[in-house]
Amino acid sequence: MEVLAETQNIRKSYEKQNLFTKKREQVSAVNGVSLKIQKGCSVGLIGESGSGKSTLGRMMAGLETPTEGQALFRGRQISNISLRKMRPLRRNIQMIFQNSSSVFDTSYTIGESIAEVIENSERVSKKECLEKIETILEQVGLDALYAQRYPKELSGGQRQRANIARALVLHPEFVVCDEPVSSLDYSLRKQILTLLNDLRNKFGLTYLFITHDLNCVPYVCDMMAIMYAGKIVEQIDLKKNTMPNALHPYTNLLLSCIPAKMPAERKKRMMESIIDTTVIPDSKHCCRFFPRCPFCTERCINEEPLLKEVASGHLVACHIIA
Amino acid sequence: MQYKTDQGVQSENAALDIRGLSMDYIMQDQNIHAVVDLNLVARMGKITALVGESGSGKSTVALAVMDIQDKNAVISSGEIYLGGTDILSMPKKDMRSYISNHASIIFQDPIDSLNPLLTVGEQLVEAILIHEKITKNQARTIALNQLLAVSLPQPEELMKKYPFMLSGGMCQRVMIAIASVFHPPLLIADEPTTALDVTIQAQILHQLDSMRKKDGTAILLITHDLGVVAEIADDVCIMKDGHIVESGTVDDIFCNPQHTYTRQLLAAAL
Repeated sequence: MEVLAETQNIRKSYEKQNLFTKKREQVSAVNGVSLKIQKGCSVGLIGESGSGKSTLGRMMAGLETPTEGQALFRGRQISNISLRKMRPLRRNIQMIFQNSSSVFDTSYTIGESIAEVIENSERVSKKECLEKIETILEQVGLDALYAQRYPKELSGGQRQRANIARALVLHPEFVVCDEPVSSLDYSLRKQILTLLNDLRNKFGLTYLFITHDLNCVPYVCDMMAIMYAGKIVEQIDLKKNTMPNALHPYTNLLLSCIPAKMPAERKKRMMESIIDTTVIPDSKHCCRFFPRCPFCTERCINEEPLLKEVASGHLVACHIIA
Repeated sequence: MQYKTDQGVQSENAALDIRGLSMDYIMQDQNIHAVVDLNLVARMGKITALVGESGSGKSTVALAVMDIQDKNAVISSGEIYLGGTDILSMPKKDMRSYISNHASIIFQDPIDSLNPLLTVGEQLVEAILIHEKITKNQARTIALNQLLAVSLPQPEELMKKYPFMLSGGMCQRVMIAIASVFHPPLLIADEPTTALDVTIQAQILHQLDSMRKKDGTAILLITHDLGVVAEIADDVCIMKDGHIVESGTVDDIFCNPQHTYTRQLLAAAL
């Protein structure tokens, strides 16, 4: 299968300047990630806030320049190219943002906002443009009349649908979904996830699905990658493996934090390792999870684990397991 | 002065008993019935979940119990028994201090509910000094213990930090620390974990759970997430458009839902 989007040992660090001492500090968000996304295969990127999952997503969408390494789309580098060269690519790479209320300009109607996207990359007559808007709105389950509404007149779920319509109107190949359901009501989540799935089948989309909620993953993803402190610690092909097969202690921690589905299924949690969540070691030669890991050994503190294949389509970065 | 009390309420161990509460939002061109004839009981040592979609009026109820509702929200009828006394029958000047001794609230966004210009310590001490006439040093000791009680590490250093230096989960735990300083019989948690990660959510839920076990606090948990409800609640009230459409124990609601809306909600679970 063809590799659609790819990162090669990509890194991103932000510089933070202390207001008073003027000392510059490097904060590394993504720390050497190599990820391949095949065409038609949806990858779920999971991690806590601050794990660098959104930064990685933005780099793969070409919105952020990596400090090291490169992001490729169809084998072409997208990270350091001019805006002029980026523009034809842009229509193939789109992003669904988390907060649908800040995506739309409040003084534009939904239709005008979507029209702007179309006019940016295609020369179309007004009539064609309107037709496109109507079609895409209907495809995401909104009435065509919503094109004339302002964002504030829509409810959260409707606005998220319009947000998805905005991203998909150009029929991109690759869509980065940055927490598309986190800001939504519980009852709407399933609707939106089903919609994303339907659209994927209809248009043959490839998703990078960023979320902190493991519950969403089986609905849309064929593969999941768990990120911790800027690194991928586990990668599971869900077509070949099932989620409970997860091996890395961090993945198991995340799995144990999912609330029970029924009151009878309440269970005891690994509370000890959850406490002290903010500690991430400075040293580069250690497993970054060791301060929170209940199975930590000497080797974990002195040597960085690499991603190793433990089963077909299942990679883990942990000394204890591989 | 004697206010409207209800002995029956106290014997039932209810920290909060809302009876026939109706609330309207007065708007320029229309009145919106946000809450209609609502009955709700929160018992000591139990977690009562009030579940509904956004706009169903669940937060309006919480704000009314604390008497911090918007100016255009008018209580048209009903009684709110807090610790056995109807707070709506009290004059305004007694109400504020009575409520602050009997109930406290934590909100959805922990970073926004703390004052960004004061350190965590200053805010905790301030809350303690309002309740009791003690010296600042005594208040500091209480504050330190309080931070330890919500399992925050290194409380001494934490007291000197500003809210922006803390993560969302730590801020929420500081909020719980402030809210539970004088062990109020009722804690209202208005979407306490919606803005947080799953791991932090598990911590905060664990915190709430240990609070009700240790202090016997009645917790009114307002949420739209049925996962949280299944994990921690004892009693559940399902709210829709200002009405409570179904209420019962958590097992009843999940295993034997009666109302169509409850079934729809359960079917929407991931």
